[in-house]
Amino acid sequence: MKGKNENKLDQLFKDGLSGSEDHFAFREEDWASMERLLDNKPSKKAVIRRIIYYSAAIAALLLLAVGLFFFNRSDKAKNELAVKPKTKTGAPAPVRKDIDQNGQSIKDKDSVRNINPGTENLAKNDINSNKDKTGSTLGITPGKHNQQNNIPVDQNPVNPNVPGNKTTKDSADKNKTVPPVDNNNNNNNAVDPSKIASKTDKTQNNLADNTTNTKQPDTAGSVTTPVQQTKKDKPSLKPILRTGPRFTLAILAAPDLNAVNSFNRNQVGTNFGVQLGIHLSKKFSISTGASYAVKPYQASGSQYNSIAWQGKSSTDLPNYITANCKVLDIPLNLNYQFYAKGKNKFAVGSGLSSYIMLRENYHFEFADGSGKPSYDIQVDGRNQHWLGVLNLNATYERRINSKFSTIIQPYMKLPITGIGVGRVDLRSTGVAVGVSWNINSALRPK
Amino acid sequence: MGEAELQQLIAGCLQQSRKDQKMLYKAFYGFAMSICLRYAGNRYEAAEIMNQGFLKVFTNLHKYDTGRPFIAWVGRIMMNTSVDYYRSNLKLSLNDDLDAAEDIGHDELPDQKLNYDDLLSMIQQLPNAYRTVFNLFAIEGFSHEEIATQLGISTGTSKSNLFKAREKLKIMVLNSGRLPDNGSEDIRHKIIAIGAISVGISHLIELIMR
Repeated sequence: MKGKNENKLDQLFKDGLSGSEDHFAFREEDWASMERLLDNKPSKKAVIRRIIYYSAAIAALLLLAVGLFFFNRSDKAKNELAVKPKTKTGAPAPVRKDIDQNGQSIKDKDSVRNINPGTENLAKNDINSNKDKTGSTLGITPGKHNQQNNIPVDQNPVNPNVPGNKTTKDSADKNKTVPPVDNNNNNNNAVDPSKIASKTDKTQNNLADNTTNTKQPDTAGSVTTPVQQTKKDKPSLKPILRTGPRFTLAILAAPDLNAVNSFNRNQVGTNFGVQLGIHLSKKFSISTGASYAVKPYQASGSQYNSIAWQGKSSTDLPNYITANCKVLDIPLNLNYQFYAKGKNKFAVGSGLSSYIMLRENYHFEFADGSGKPSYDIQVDGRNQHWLGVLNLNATYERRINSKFSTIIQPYMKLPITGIGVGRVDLRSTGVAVGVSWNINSALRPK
Repeated sequence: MGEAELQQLIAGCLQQSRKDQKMLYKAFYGFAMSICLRYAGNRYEAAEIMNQGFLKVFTNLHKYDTGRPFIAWVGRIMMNTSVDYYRSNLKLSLNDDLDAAEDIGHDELPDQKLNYDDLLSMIQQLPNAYRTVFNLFAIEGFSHEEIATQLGISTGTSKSNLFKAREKLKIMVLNSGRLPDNGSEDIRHKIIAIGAISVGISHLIELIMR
């Protein structure tokens, strides 16, 4: 009875579906793809896969190549960082420096004195008077004055002849040749004596003899080095102090290749999420966020480690396991920007991801001979892998305008711990594409 | 298409003439598509399978035995390509409703005529594993033993897949007769749902506005 009925069903479909050749009109687009096949061109699907493969390979290569560079650089950066605190503490105490310089330049001055003892005595008196006059202001002024003004003021007690001189060479010359009258002038014109001083220098430089010229480097050196130091340090500190860290928000989506152990047998999943970037300096940034990923994959019985299967022989294990996992991925990466020119920026980054398994579906299929039926299981929210996945990525960023830029980010996620119920070595790779929004650009105008 | 014309086309294809290849492709397009569509889940997959099949036809044309009908040879290639296409899927597809294959208690099929598109959409709704076995058994006329060897599965799997395919198809055929009823029920449900949602949203808006 039933058999007859089923045959009737078969017959219904056989009759209904046969003789339908004329049902389909020829489509030119099908022939176009046929021609591609005939020309031995890979199909679209293969092209997409190949692009993902290549970009992942490029990312890996980039990471390797830049990795070395990155570590070398990070050492240097550490050194720079080590220097910075010194200057920070040094900044509020410029007086101490001045004292040191006093010692140095006094020595210089002593040598000068040997040459021109007459003028030097007078100059010495002036030093004392200058010290008394300017000493009180010295301690207060450095912070208020800008660098260029600071130094001449500091020098006042040291080389009283050259209180306002910007060019230290001239000051050395003047030490010898300028009569004490000039000093008095300078002291009187303490506010802006440089003009007068330089004027007199110009005329008297010609008179300076060779011996004084040889002395120049000493005084010049002792004066100019602190100038260079303070000039170097200040700009590097300023941007961070002034602006604070820069924030960016990016929305990313990616096709995702998932595979267990190797990328031989992979399946394509999807991945989308948001990423917050905190730019600590020009080169370094931290990024975090959350993304929702669908990760389908296949594994063999031996790759899937279930407690229930411990001690069982490999013949008892399933032939195949297909799985589909919905994962919340929370990354924490450190990025290093190694290239930035015009609108284009390149960066590499690495860090750890936390996988929160929202839903895991598994289908177990046993070998035909085993006589075991296939079965499915579903696990909801049981597994969390905190910082259990290593991230490697490379980022290409192209600026659209001051607020937005596009991002292309090849990445690779390699688990440190086993993922999911089966504790499988589930690797993912892909290329995320997205848009990044510079949050600071929105906040600043207000 | 006459026999002489076909032989000429085949000769042209053997010379790698793109024009003749297109002629042959066009001539067997409908036939090949009708086979592939039965095995495929949708038209896109069918076209992909068909093109892969045609590629085999073109590259293996020298192997074609001229003593046999060409159309049967093409059909065989299309069928094999279809089976190959889903072979990896046959074991691994996440088949749902494994328990739904119970006897539904309807022994008689209604004597209604279903058109080609209805039947095709029904068969395409089947999971790949069921569809392949049903095609091979019910339409191509293979035995379970033949199917088992061809697909690399056990005869038991073949039988069970056929059974499940038939059960599903039977439900679909029976339901197709009651479609108008279901439709009105569906619409009523939709109206109620939309009403409930709009009432909910208006309440929500009211709350927010306060």
